[in-house]
Parts: sequence; C-alpha cells; structure tokens
Amino acid sequence: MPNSKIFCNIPWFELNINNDGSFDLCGCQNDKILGTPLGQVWNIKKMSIEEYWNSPRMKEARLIKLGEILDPMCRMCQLKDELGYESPRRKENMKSLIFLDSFERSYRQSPNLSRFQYSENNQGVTETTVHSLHINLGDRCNFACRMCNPYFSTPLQREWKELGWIKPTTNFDHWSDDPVGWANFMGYLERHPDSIRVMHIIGGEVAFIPKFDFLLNYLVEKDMAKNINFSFTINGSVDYTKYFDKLAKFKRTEIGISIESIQPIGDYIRQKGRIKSIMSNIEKLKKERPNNMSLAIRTVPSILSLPTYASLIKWCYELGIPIDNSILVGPVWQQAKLLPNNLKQKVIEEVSAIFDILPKTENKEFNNQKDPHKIDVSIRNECESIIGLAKVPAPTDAEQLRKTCAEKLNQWDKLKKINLKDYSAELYEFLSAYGYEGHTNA
Amino acid sequence: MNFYQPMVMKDTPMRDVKLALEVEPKFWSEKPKVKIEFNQQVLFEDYLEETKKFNWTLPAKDINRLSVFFLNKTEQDTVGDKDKAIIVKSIGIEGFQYSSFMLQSKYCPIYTNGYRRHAKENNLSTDPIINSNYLGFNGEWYLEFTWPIYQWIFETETKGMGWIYEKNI
Repeated sequence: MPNSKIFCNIPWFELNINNDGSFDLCGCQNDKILGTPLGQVWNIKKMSIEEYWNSPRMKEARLIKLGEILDPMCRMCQLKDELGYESPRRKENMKSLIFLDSFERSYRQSPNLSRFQYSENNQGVTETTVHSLHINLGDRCNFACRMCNPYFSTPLQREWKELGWIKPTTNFDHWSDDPVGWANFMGYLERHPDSIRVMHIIGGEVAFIPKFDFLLNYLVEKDMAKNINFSFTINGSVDYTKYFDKLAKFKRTEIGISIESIQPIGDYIRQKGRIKSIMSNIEKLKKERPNNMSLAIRTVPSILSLPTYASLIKWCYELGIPIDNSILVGPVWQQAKLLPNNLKQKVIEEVSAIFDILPKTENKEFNNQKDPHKIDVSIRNECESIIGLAKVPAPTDAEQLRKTCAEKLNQWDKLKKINLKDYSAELYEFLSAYGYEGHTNA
Repeated sequence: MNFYQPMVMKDTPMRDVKLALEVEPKFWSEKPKVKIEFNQQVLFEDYLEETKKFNWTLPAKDINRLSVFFLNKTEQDTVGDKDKAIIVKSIGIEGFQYSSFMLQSKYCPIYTNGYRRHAKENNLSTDPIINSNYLGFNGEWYLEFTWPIYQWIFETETKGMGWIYEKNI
C-alpha cells in the first residue's frame, strides 16, 4: 500500500511539456528541468512522447509515488496538504477515484489499481498512454509579472537581461518553434487521437501565441475536441470571445484568469496590466461564455498581493467565480510569509470577516476547488487557505530576504521608472524600512 | 493502452462498505418499531425510544440496498399535531456524510385507506415512491448504491460535472 501523503497518480497519465521542450511531471512541480542540461536530454525535440513515457526518468517517478520518500519536486502540494488546503494532488488522485481522506480503502477500489500494481511489479513501467497534456505553448506575453520568470514572458526576458539578473546570452528558444519538437508533438496527437482527454495550455499569453490558434483549429477539425476537457490560462487583458465558437465544441473548457489583486497593487504586480479593464473583461467572459465553459481566478499569493487579498476574494464571491491559488515556491524573496506581523494580522482579520459570513458547507473534504457549482465551498477553502498562509511564521532568515525583496524591487522599479508608494502605502512603508526607494523624479 | 480502457478488477478481500445511519423516533404514545436491513439481511429490529446511531462494516455486492422499514404505524397514531414517525437523520458511507446521499434515497409509503381518501379529497399526492427522510407511514425507506463504492460516491457528488473523472470508455 503506497503512502497516502506521497501517492499521486499523475505519472500514470499526465505529461508536462516545458517552454524549452523539456518534459516534467506536472505544472505544479518545482525544480523543473526547464533550462537545465537534463532538460536537453529529456526533451520533445530529442524523443517522441511514447519514448519518454517509459523512460528511466518516468519509471523512477512512478516508483517514487509508490514509495515512502516525499518527492522533493512536489513541494507545492506538500505545502498545501500541510495547510489543509485543496492540493492539486488531492484533485488529481480523484481521477483514479482515490480519496485522500479514505486513502487505503479507496486505493484498493480504484479502477486504476491494476495499473499501479503493474508498475510496482515492473520497475515503474506502465502500459498506459498519456491522456492529459499540460503544455507551455509559447512565451510571448504582453505582461511582466513580478512573480513570473522570463521563460513565460518575453518582456521579462528583456527586463531581466537589462537588470543583469540573467546572462545577456540566455537562450529562450521555444520548443514549439522547433520543427522536430513540433512534429513529435503533433505526431503524438495523430497517433493517439482518442487517448487525449485533458489538455491544459499555458504561455505566455495565449492570445499572442499563433500555435494556440493552430492547435484549437486542429482539435476541432479532427473532431477530437468533443472528447477533450480543454483549459488554458490567460491574463485577462484582451477580448477572448473570438474563441468562443471553437471552444464551444470541446467537451468542456475552463479558462483560468490570472489576477493577484483588484486594488492598484494589482497593476504593480502584473506590470502592463490595467486591473479595471481586466475586471471588465472577466465580467464579459462570465456573461457571454458558452455553456460548456467555466471560469476560475488563478492567483499566486505573495508578499505583494496578500495584504489586499480579502477584496479579491469578496469580488470573486460576488461574481460567482471560484479562486484557485498556487503557493509561491519561488522567488523566495516574494513569499507571503515574509510580511510583517501587523500586515499578516490585517489579512487574517479581513479574510476571517468574509469567512464568517459565508454559508456553512459540508463536504469540505471532497471538492473540486474550481467547481462553480460549489462556490461557497471554494471560497471558504480559499479563505482558510489564505488565513493559513498568513499564519505561517516568518523564516529565520526573514530579515535578509526582506532586504533582498526591497533591493530587487528597488532596482526593478528604477528601471521601470515607477514607485511602489503610488500603488500601496502599507507595502511602501514596510519595504522602505529595508532600503526600498523606487523611482524618484529627483 | 488507453488510461481509461477498462481493466479487469482483481477481487480484493476488502469488498465491504462502511455504513453509518442515524434514525430518530417521533411518538406520543407507542414507540415506533423499525427494522433495518442491508441487502435483505436484518441488522436491527426493535422499538425506537430515542435517536440511535449505527455503524457497520458490511460485505458489499454489485448493487446494494440499505433499507429502513417502519412497521407499526396505525391511523390512530396521528392525532392533530401528534404523530408517530421515524426520521432518517443522516447516512454515512465510508466516513463521508454528503447531502447527496440522502437525495438519492427513496421512500415507499404504504398509504392507509384513510389517507388515500383524504388525499383524493384534497388533491394530495399518493405517489408510490417519494423522496423523504420523514417516514410518516409504514413502508420502506431505502438507499441503493453500486460497487465500487468510491465511484458511486464520486458520481453522486459530482453529478453533471464529469470534469475530474471519466468512466472507462
């Protein structure tokens, strides 16, 4: 019997393709091999998806999930599990009908039990095929978000080079522009038209990635769309209704909209974004979406966003859109636990005030956080998660990390010619004590 | 092989189900008599004086039926606001207590002749199967569920969503 705190069925059905074509387990994984020498070995530019699926790396990944040692690549889920929050692992295991709250009994009844046992008895080999693809389809973006990195944003590639945070020669060639990589990807779809059931696309911003349009058209024209749960993440900056006719042909679609705050600090975090305009776009999406589409707000709570998070929760609840946060693993200097106690306490009080007025719900243990039909549960979970996050004590090296945060933002804002005080007085007051100045006209 | 292609399930020694049930009596004179069965095996039969909670681990079949029979109601047990009844307060399966379980339950009341006349005069329902956890007539309340039980729980809870789990195809 695997360990309930470790087991995850992702390596039996899902594959993640990073920006450079490297393969990883899932989108939530930390320490991806993206941009590393290993990433050039396990790469769609070098091998087919079938070859990778039973490669030594994947076999080892399966055996780790069946073993007793916590996977160091899965810290985000482990952190969420510790906070008692809906971790992706919990939801993913539901694909095999494994309930973490009744792990042993549900594992023994899982329709995929034989598959796990097969791998256990065959050194990690599986006879399954990939049915869920999590794909980075391009890095072209119009935003430069603070907690993002250059692999996901063309403006960040330029800015980080100017800031000296990465080498000027750093290569961001995208796998989807590589003829072999693209042929390997499309070849898999052609060879397995019936096995793909879930496809999640990230960027960049999909509206600026030509391959997104191509893929959408392909899946519709090949009549694969009707079997696929198709999802993607957007930054909410453009009108997406132009895709609705095609998206309506999928079995189900889900759009995740990344925002961090509905206050002015939202525009500071997501540079080039205009939160008021994004909020209007979201309201339009909600109003005009086809019946098979649901929406979710995707956040990455950080030192910059947590102080105003309560107003975002309230807005989402009133709009009826669930929130699903991802815990920020890196950069460490932006982690929410670095906030001073007075700001953490404010967050706890504001979010608790929302939590207290939400209807009491059952079934907290078993819930799809993004299920719009269970918005009360989703928002309650979100409140609990954020309160839990605000209660995480500052680490022993917090003072040094706060200085790093002030230094990095100071350097960045001087380049951008902006100042944090124009977006958040409380954060300016906090970080200026650690040396933050920002752009000044003097 | 497609991830969703059916594989032969090895029969495990754990083909059982954990059930919990809470029943509450309502009476002003004689106590209601209840019989509880699972797959036609009697688990409990007695008069109920107070709310009673049960927990069982029972062998499961492909299709399972948990039944609560109300046995001793007469027309004389309902006088004005006074009534004799059994209320199924909660059902737990595998440690989960979801309202969707109760929504799946059915109740087959054995209507009395007096009630049938009253219902006809007042245009009230005498449907043979209704959804109610208030057992105001003799008859059987039951919940049917299939094995594997976690699949049934999932499908019952996520009716219409179909996003997370797809049945074998």
